[in-house]
Amino acid sequence: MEFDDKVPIYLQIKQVIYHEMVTGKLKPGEQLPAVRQLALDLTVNVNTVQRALGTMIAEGFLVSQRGRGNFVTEDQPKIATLKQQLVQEQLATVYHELHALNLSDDEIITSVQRYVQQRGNQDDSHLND
Amino acid sequence: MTKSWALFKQLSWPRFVLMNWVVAFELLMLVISGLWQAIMGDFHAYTPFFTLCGFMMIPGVVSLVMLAVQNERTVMTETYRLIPISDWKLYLLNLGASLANQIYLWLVQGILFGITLLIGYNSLGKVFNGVPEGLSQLNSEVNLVQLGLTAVVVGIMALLLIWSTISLVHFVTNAASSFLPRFRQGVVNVIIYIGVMLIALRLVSALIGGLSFLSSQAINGGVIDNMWVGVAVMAIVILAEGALNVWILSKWVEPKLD
Amino acid sequence: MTAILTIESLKYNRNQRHILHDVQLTLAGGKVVGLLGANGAGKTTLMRLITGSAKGSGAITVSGSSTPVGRKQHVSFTDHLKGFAPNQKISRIEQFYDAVYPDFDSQRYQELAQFLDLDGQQKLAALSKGTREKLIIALTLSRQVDLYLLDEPFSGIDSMSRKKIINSIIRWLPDTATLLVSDHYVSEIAPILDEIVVVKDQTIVVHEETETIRDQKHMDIETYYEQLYEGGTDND
Repeated sequence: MEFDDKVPIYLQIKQVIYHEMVTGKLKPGEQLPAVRQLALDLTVNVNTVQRALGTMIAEGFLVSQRGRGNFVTEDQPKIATLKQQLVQEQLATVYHELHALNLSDDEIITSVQRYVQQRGNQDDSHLND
Repeated sequence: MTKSWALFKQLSWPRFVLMNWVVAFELLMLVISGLWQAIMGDFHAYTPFFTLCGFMMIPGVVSLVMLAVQNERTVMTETYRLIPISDWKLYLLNLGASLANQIYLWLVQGILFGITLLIGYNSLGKVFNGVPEGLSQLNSEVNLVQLGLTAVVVGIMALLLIWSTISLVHFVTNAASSFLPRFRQGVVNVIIYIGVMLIALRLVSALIGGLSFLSSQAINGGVIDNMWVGVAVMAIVILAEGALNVWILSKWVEPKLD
Repeated sequence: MTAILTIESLKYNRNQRHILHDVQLTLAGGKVVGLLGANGAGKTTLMRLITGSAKGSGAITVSGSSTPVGRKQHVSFTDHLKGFAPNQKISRIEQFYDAVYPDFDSQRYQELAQFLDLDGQQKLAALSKGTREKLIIALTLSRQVDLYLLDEPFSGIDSMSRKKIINSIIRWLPDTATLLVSDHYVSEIAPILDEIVVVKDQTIVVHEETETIRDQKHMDIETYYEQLYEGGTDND
């Protein structure tokens, strides 16, 4: 796993795990690997993993069971809000970048629509190959 | 903390291997020279004995030098200096391991000597016709045992003295080098080499002279075995050098960088 | 958190040259710390002073022990195996470690050796640079101590060996122990470091948490480290 060394690594670890929770790679109620195993999988420091998990537990996305390990919350709506949150973050970036190119809100919407359409056609033609 | 015996065994093993190489080399020389003499048609039962007597000094000196090198290398190597054991124990074990292996070599020499003597015993009698009578004049067997024992003790003391003096020179030059700028080291090293050697020699001879004089005075002209006075003096010098060595070792001597 | 290592007013001269002076450092337990600095800055010397191999003035305490022999009990250092003959087998070197270090854990060594693909029958002289370094790491981490000192374990080795070494550090470093690893390329080990310590101008100029650098300075560790050198001339 490659990390951006300019951004705190514990934040990036959180992103990785959130992503897996939202996409369903980590199911609600599923147990996470042990801290050391996660550190090995991601090639990062054990303390950094601990810190990432700690904040995720505080936020309520993970549940820590004493002596048994860490589990993904079974609170489905909670995970739905997480998905919402991640989508918001991505959109915020795109919106910010496009705005910086002097696009109006309407122009942004139409360009996104056009892009999605083009992209859809492209993928279809790829499928037909 | 590391157990002394465990470290002693680890220090001894490479030296033991070295000593066996020396013996193997010696045996090889014996075989080669025996074969040579057989080819020349000059091989007798006593030939191995005489050949052995001829170059017995070589394994003795070679092993002594090899062990001295081992002594110095050990304290200059991080592999050994990182071991959690006090410097005086390391020093003693190092010296002890060399001594044990040197004695091992002497024993093997003695056995070889005995074997070749046995092989050539009958024919040797003819060669040394007059000798047994000469030997019988040298008192009883008890004296021979005593003489052998004294020789071994003196040998051990001389050995320890040589090794501690080498260490002293080595440690002093090493310690001095950490203080002096690089370019002056060479000159200083030579001065120290010569200086320490002279001091050690002077010290030993002066002490032997002084002590034997004192003791012969004290015991009122009684017969003092000078040999034992010498041994006592050497023991004092070895202890003094040892104390100095351990002090310098722990204070200044650093293992070599790669 | 209790301190594993404390260094106070450490000074070290050699051949009338100042190598290190006014070194102060405290490391807590359970950390991975990068020791950074240019070649010849004194990283190795600092480690040798901690083990007691180099003789400086000042106070160094490791897990409450301040005498050299006491410190040696608590410190495991990457020895370069100069004390062994080139034809020595790996298994024989392991026996040596097992015999002279009471805290050496053979079980752990076996696990590490398997993970790092070490063959006990191989001779020291036959090892590649990477394999030799892996052997050194396996031996160093097999001791159960409070402080591990790894002196440039990544210099001149292939990337596969490097990855394996990094993984064995993550996997086998005990929870409460601290590991100090020196390197002059920061980026390859930055993700596994809790803190960095920088040696420059004969002393320690920086001791900082890596996440703090990323969080507050928005810099990667490499850039932060390099910037110390760019600004250095103005400070003199």
